[in-house]
Order: sequence, then structure tokens, then C-alpha cells
Amino acid sequence: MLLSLALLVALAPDASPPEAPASVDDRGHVFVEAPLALSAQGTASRVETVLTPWAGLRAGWLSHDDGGVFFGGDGAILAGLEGGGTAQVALSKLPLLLEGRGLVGMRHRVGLFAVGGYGYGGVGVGGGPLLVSAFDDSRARVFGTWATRVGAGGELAFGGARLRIELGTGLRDARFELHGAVAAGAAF
Amino acid sequence: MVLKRLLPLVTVAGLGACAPIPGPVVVEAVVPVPGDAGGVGIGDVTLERVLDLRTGRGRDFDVRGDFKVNATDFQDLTGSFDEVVERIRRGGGSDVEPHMSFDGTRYLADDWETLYYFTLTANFEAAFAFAREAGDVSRASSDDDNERALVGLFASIVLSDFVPLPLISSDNAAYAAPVDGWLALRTAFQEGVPFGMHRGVIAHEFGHRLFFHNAFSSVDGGFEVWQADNSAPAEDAAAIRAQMLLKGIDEGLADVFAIASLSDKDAINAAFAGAGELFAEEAVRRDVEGPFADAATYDNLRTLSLDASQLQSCGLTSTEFGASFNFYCVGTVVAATLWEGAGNDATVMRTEIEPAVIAALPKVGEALVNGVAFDLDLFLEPLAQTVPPGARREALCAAIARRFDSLVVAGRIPTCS
Repeated sequence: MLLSLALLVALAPDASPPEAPASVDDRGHVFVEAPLALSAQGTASRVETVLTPWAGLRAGWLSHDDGGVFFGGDGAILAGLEGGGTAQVALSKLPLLLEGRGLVGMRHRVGLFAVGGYGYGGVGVGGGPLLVSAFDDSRARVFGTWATRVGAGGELAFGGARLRIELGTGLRDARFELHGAVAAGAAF
Repeated sequence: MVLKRLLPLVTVAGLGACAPIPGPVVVEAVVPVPGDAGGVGIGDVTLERVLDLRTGRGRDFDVRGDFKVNATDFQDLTGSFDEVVERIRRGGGSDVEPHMSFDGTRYLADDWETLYYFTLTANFEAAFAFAREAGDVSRASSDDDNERALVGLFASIVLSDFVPLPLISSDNAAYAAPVDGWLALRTAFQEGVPFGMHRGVIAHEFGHRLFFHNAFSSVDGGFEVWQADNSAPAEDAAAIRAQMLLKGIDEGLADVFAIASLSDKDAINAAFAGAGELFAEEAVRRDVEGPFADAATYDNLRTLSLDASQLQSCGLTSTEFGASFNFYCVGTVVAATLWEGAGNDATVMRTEIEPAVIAALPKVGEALVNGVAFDLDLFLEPLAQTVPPGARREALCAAIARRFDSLVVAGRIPTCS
């Protein structure tokens, strides 16, 4: 649903003449996107890998939307889902992460189309609920979490609509982590 | 108020702290519910004997990560026991990396594997403690640094280095004498309490170490007998029969240890009963008061005179105790005999029967060293001798006579004849 909304918003600027983005170059532009991410992290046994799916909303500002070097920053709220066990004995948790990042990259634009690449680095803090259950017995609590992330991404834009793909690494709760994301959104 | 409550919740890994966390230390784990046979809940348990909760090191055993056993390594069991263990352990994996928080009084698991690790550690500590209480002085419950056991967390058995195809990797826990340790496998298809987190299952697996060390490694020449028995497949029918019965008593006494350790007759069958349809048949077979235990005897298995469907489930269709025999069947016969000998009383099982089992096991090894082919009398006679004369011995002998009639009649268990 978020993706549909983002695409609807993204299509809106298409009605404007192609030169419209240049008019906002001086003050940069903002963007909103809906990332879907997957992170992979080692576990206590050093055998398994926990894959955590994340979904969220990200908004940011970039120095301009034209060709050439750009820079900016963004912030996101991401919600993940982790857990394991059986239907009767399990641990499940819902990490919520507030993430702030800096970005720098380069973009090539031809008319309405643009293609670019960028690097990013950021930190996140958050927490969430955790539930341990064994049959009829359960205990709930909240936990804290933090993360640092660096990575690289690529973007494809058509007018104000954009699709981004990212791959990165970092630490979450002092554990090495790989993460990848795909995000669809719109720039204004 | 909320903040005050949250502040003590320190994510230990998050702080990057690296000082050891020795026992006694309280953790939140999946624990048996007192008074609710087979029931489990979430509770606090004190780990007394860990040396460092952060790495899995302990006085009695180390919990290790990234641990694989190569099946092809089992083909070479030459050398002393210590040499075999060192070779097949291949360095013994690596430290575990629990993901946990500290709330000011106890450690809390922040992920599933850490909850598994805490629970498994608590269950092994309970098994070690009970073995000592029951009089074990063998390597099985030793805390000597050079004899420390190993528990592979989410370990697996792979075919070989070159073909690391997992042969066994989920829904089980096992003791492997060649590594003198246990493999606690991940959960995949089972329901209920994962076997590696089940106190009864872990006690059962501990029972295998108790059997191995008391019957073999503690006896002069015993390990060599074990080596010969496990280095090459038995060829003639008599040798296969002896091997099957030896495996059967190993399984049966492991069940006895679990029942005694938990003071719960359902210590094992409840684990299977809760694990889903896949394990339903095993749940019935392992119930010491169930229909199988009630009907099966050493003699009606041996002579194929038990109900046909039960014989079939035991792999007994034409040959007695052949290579296809499901040796767990005779294991249940042994466990049910001792349960009945204890007067169906878990406390007697704990305080009288299990200590007698431990005292009798070296006699099994001694007989095997003397070249006697294994049959159940090699255990039942010293067991009966170990139980003091009186009502308890009479009850045990009556139970033995009911299920091992041919051995008693033949005078092979003279204490009960």
C-alpha cells in the first residue's frame, strides 16, 4: 500500500514540463520513499544466519536533482520482525529503528531519466517489544537496539519517481550485519 | 517510571563488554513447571557452573558454536580415547556468541538461539548434578579440565570435509562418544519443546555418556572393546544380536536416567508426545506405562510372539534382533522393568534404582572385556545384586521375571532365580 501511494505521488510531477526540477535546484529537493529491506546477522551458534525483514518510511533532502555530484541526508523509521522456535515455545521480537544517514553520490540525467550511484553511512537507535512464550506462559519486555551502517546504492529515476537499491554492512547490537534494501519513492 | 524500569536493561553485547560472566548467574530460560509433569514455562534458573556465560565455557562442559562432526571421521577410531576425541573434535568449534541483556538481576535472551543456549545449559547442569548425586564417579560427570564434555549448539553431522552435506541437522539431540560430547540440533519440523531444550531429552542424552564411561572407558580394556565393536560392522548373526541388545540397553538406561533425573515417568515420552504427529508412535513406544511397555517383553520380542503390528514397528518380522531391529523397543522393555521394580515411584527411581544402575554398569564392561557376548543378563544380574536384599530387590526381581522370564528360568540372573 505504501508503495502504491509512493508511486501515485511519484507520478504526479510528470504532468510538469521536463525543466521543472531545475527550478528547485538552488534549494535542493526532498524525497520520500518506502524501503523494504533484509538484514542478515550471525547468531549465538555461529552456524545459523538470522534474516530480518524490515519495512518502513524514509524521508530526506538532496542537494539537487540534476546531473553531477549531489549530497544530502535522510531519516527513516524501520520496523523489523525476528524470532524462532516452535508454535508452542518461541521468542519473537519487533525491532523499531530510527535511522539517520548521510549520502553523497553522482547522477547522470537525460531529460526525465536519471541514473546514479551513491554511498551512505548512518546510525540508528531504537527498541521494541520482545515476547518469550512457552505454551500458556509468556513474558514480555522491551529491548533496546542500535546500529551503524555504511553501504552503496544505485538509483533509477523518471521525473520525480525513483527506485533505489542498496547493499551495505555494519553493526547491529555489536554484531556484524549485512543488509540490502529496495526502495520506491518520489522526489519533490 | 518506565524509564527507570528500562535503564537496567543493558544490552550486554551492545556495550561490547568482554569480562567473563561466571556462575552462579541467573538466566531466564524454558524450565519445567513444578508439579506439572511434562509441563514447561518461562522461569529464572541459576547456572552454577558456567565459567563464562558470554563464551559458553563451563566447569563440566563447554557449549560451542560452529561445531560439525564429519561422519567419515568415525571410520578411524584408533588410538586412546583422548586421542580419538581430540582428533574427531577437530578443535571443537568456537565460542558461542549469546545475544543477551542484563536487567540488574538476571540475563535475558535477546534472540531465539540464546534462549536455546540458556535452556540447554540449565538442563545439562541439572543432569550433571543428578549424576553426581546418584553416585557417578566416572568421567561422565567429571569436572576435570582434561575431561570436559562439549555441547555443539546447533551442531550438525556432515558427510565429509569435501562434501559437507548435512546428514543430521535438525529436531534431535545426540551424544557422540567419539567427541565425548553432545550435538544439540536446530528446530525445523517438530512442534512443542525443541528436543535440545527439553530437560528430559537432555537427561536422556546425558545418560548415554553415563553408560559409555561407566561400561566402557572406566573399565580396563573396556574402551578397546568399544573400539572393536564400533570400528567394523558386525557380520554374523550373534554379533549383530549382541550389538542390537547393547544399543537397546543404552537407550533404555538413558530413559531411566531421564525419569530418575526429573522424577517424572513421562520425562521422555512427553517430549515426543508434544512434538507432533511425526513422533506420535515413538511417544507411545517410550511410555513406561503405555500399551507397548505393558505388552512387550524380552521373550515375546525374541520369539516374535508379540502382537504383529508391534513387532513390525520394532522391525521384527523374521529374524530375532537382526540388523533391522528397532533397538529402542528393547530399551523400553528395560526401562519399564526398572520402573516397575521401583514400584512405579519416581522418587525410588531417583534415590534407589539409578544409583544401582550406575554401580552395576562397570560389570557389563568387565564381562565384555572377558569376551562374553552381550545379553541383558550381563546387566540385570549385577543390577539385582546391587539393590540391597529386601522388598526392593524382590520387586525388581519380580519385574525382571515378568519381562525376562527365559533368562531367569535359565539361571542366568541367579540373584532373581
